[in-house]
Amino acid sequence: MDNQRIIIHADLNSFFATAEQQANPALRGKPVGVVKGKGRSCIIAASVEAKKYGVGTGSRTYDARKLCPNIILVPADFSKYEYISRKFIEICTSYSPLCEVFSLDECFIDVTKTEKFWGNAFNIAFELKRRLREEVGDYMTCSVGISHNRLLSKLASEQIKPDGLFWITEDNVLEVLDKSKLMDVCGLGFGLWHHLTSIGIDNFPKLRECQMEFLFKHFGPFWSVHLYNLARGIDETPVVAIENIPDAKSVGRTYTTHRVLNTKAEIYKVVRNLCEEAAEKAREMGLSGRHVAFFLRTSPRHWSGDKNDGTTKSWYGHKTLSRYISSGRELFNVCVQIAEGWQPENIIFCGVTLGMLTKTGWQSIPIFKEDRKRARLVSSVDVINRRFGHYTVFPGQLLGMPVVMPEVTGFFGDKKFRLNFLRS
Amino acid sequence: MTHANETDVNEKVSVWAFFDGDIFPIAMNWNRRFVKFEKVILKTSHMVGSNRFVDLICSSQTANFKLEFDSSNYSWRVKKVIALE
Repeated sequence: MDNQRIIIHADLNSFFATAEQQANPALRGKPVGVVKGKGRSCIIAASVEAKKYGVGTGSRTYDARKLCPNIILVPADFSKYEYISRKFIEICTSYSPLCEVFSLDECFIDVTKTEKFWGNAFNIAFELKRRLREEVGDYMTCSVGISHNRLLSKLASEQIKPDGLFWITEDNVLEVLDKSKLMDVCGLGFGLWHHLTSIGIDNFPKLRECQMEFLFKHFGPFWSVHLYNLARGIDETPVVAIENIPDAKSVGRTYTTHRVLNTKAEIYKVVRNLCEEAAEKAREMGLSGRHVAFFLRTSPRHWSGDKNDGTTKSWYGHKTLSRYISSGRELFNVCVQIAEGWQPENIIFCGVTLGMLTKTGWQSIPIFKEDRKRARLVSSVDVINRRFGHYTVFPGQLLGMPVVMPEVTGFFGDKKFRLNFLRS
Repeated sequence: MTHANETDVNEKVSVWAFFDGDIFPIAMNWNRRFVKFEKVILKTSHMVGSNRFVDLICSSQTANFKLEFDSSNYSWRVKKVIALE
């Protein structure tokens, strides 16, 4: 059909692990697991070779070693991944202005109006793969999926891995969907899957047989339409160009600790660190917020003592303030207020979020001398840290602990800000 | 924490490099040893404050080297030696 869109989905294969294999040729062809650092027990990326043994993202190193005794664990180098990700995004954006950065290693490119410059979408896919090898590294590969909507192009890129190329057309869409598992498609998560299987729907043919009324009864007005379309490969959502990305709604930072934290003093040190980073991120974007969320979680091993039944305990609290804040100290003070009455112990996970963001420039100037002084202090510290590096000047509360440095995340929640490099 | 075939070094070094919109290291003189580079395996960069550091992994006949170029003072450091196997 002439009026059909052509969407390309490009996905870097086992991104972090392949980047390490690119950097160290001795690791190529071997099972590699990337961990965050020494003493870390979670594999954040596994190489193609490790995945063959059943090791995947989120596997514990203990389990990974059982599955694949010769797995090589390497520490993550986030600056390397960020650089490669930027190069990859730059390559993708060169094929169409309608390029949506979906995550650190995935892009949707709407080439409906630009494919003629390269002949067809296949040529774009081949050129993208070639440029990735030439401009980033000869070991870097990506899977490319082509189809007439986002949903199917993402599904197409998952059909052949690594270094695959697959086109889902109107003729083979149902065939591909029927071969796929429910959770293979983007937009069907664990919650929906659980609900679907509980009512006896465990594949796409069964989902397609369901009448709209039946879906409406079980899933309500929104999800029934979503599932109805999903089962037929219908997706009208546009590819959001970089210029049209909405502003960040919140900034935050989560952190899984190396060891369990038992005292409030220890926990608050880490929380202060996270508050500083979240607030600095907001300030760098020129934003302030007035909704603060704070959460803590225990280790499954420690919470239930000897039983080790895998259960965790968590604390969550939030507070909406009457005024906007953007300094780490203020954010931390609100977190302390939220945590009043909590008796946290055996903590391994902390998180802080600053939401309801608005432009700091729209705020009124502090009236009181003391407030103006603090604001000047914060901006002076920012100037120093931006010139000489993160945490060159830091709060005294962080003394005596290893500072948690900012790192790149795959979620790209603040993508509008992080993709600024494409505009320069 | 480094992989078994990597050795952390972090020493200043003299590098002959070709600049043409990009950096192409040609050879280095490290510990009175002349190492000729064959290929740049990976080039990335990172910022420390407003300073840009370019990280290059270069292959030679004997080993691979991770070099760091400090763009603020044009100095080079060998960060790692990576064995070929």
